[in-house]
Amino acid sequence: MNQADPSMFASQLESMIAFADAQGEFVLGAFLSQALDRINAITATSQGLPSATE
Amino acid sequence: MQGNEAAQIASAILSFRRYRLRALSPDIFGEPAWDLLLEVFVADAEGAPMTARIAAERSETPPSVMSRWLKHLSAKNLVIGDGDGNLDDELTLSGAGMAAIESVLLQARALKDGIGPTAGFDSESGRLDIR
Repeated sequence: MNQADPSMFASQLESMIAFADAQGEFVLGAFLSQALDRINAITATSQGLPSATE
Repeated sequence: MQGNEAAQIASAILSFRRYRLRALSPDIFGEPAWDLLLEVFVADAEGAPMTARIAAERSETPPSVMSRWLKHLSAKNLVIGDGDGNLDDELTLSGAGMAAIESVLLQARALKDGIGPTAGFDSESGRLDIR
């Protein structure tokens, strides 16, 4: 089974957020930012770091 | 509806929403734009300043998320700030935003007033008729 690389998810989400912002699609940007925040929280938890959202 | 009553209803809705976060989990809720609009409405009624950062902290919304909702609400001319998503801008509702929120709060009051006394039994369908 493939092991996903969360840092790649975060990078891709950041690119998508930048695209949404550039297009003035702030609702899309907000939802993507929520997803990025969650991904970062999961990554921080898995690395034993305190989550920025908690 | 008097402005004071509208602010009380808005404040009650916000209190209820915060109670949900505590009683359950912030993970399963989220409507930052609505929280922000209500916060600005209540602050305006109280003559208190309101920023998106304060609203974000109260609703446990990440700043990066609230900033984009602020940009969207500004672009839709519901909220007046600098329009650049700055979380520390002091915000007010636009005329259109104020009218929209007041309309929603009026509906909320109508729903509240309709709870209980207007429920009746529909003999034809054999079911409770709650309006």
